[in-house]
Amino acid sequence: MRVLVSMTAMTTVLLLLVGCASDFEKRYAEAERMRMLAADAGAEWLQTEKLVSQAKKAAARGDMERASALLEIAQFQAETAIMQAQHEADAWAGRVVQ
Amino acid sequence: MASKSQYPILLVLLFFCGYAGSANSDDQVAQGKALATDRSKGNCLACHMIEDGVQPGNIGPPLLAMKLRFPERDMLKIQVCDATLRNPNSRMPPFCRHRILSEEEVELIVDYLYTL
Amino acid sequence: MRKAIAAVVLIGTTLLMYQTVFAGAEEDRLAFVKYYKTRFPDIPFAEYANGIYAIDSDARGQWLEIEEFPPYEFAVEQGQEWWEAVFENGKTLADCFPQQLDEIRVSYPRLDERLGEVVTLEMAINQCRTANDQPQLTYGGDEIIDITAFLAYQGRGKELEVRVPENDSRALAAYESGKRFYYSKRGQLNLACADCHVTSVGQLVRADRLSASLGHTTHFPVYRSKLGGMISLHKRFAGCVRDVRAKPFALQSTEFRNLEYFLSYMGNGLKVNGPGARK
Repeated sequence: MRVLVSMTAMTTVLLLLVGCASDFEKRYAEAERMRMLAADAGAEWLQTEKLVSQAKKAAARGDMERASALLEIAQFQAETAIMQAQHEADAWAGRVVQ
Repeated sequence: MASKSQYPILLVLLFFCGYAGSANSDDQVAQGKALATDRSKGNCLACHMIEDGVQPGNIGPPLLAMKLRFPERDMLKIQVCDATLRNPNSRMPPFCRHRILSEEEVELIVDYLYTL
Repeated sequence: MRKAIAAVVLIGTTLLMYQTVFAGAEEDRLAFVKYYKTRFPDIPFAEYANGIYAIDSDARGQWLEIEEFPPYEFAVEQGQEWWEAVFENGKTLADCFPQQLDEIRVSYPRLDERLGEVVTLEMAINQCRTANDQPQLTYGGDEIIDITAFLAYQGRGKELEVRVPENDSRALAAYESGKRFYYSKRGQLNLACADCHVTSVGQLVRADRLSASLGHTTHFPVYRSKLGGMISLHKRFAGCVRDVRAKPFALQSTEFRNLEYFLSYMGNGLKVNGPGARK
């Protein structure tokens, strides 16, 4: 009985860990995809790439909380950079010296 | 568990904590000033003259008489948070929208600015 | 008949478009010059070749002192050695350039008809090396910077005369792309080149005065005391892009070459005076 309980517990923990990891992989891929889109628009910010790679390192040493926080910032930066580029697609012309 | 004799001390501590939590405590103002000066945070001195700040820039207006210029605290907060709301071509970075500063950090900076 | 009319209309529209954009480039330049003239009525046009020292009288004295013992002299001497070095096939860099030695600097940037893109002096040097079976030089490395320092020195006093050929849509596109880059806000700080060097020109960022973009390209490469070495124009671009917290483009990337094309065109009529010395 005891063995069963502990085995169940271990499996649950293992599944949770795997779940977190695959969730991280998914979010990592998404952040990286957005960063590339920002780069394609010529709009990538200075620290986004570093944030993504730091997140990966944090995940590799098991610090999922930090990894997740870093990814969130990277994702935000990439999305905001893309919005910035979309806004600038028209806005720049208004600044041309007349 | 605290013994009865410790209650007065706790009360005094609570009083000070409450005081520290209220707006414009010296500590908050000091934190706001540090954020305003820090080059990786507000870096206000890059563009604005501020009282005793060394080597200020002059791209934006000097930061003085802020209560007079922004009688409503929220208006000042909006200006620090995202100046492009008022002027899309503003040269002032949108500190909140681009997460250069957190909202809490902006609150502290506004506390400080209101002392100028 | 219908087809013929359509073709004529199409050609007409295209020509008109080229005309508008081309007129645009020269109009842009005149407006640019006029803007700085209005901001600094007492500064003569030719002075803008001196970059920030055209408008920063405080720093000018120190700069003139530095120029008495130019810190870029070594780069010029080294550059001459590289320039005269003989490749295995017996040729030298000079064999790739049909111009007089003092005309080479102002022949760039230009739109290369065969490539259909902007070619800078640095790129032309590497093209020459490739043509002579030599490995490409690393942009930003000493050798290529020294060669450009030598050519800039030889070309001193010649006027910038960048052309945006009106019959070449690729040239117009490159010019437009450089112009768009210059006026677009970018990075976490949300700043365009123009925000600092047009709107805020002459004002202070902390202790540093913002230079005019008129004449930004005339004096490169420059020796920067702060870094203790020579830097190229594109390296300087990268520094600015980094300062607004955007990811810099590669040296000699299309983006930076187009920006160089636009900025150089804005400086037409100014005399080149590189290499320069800067803080």
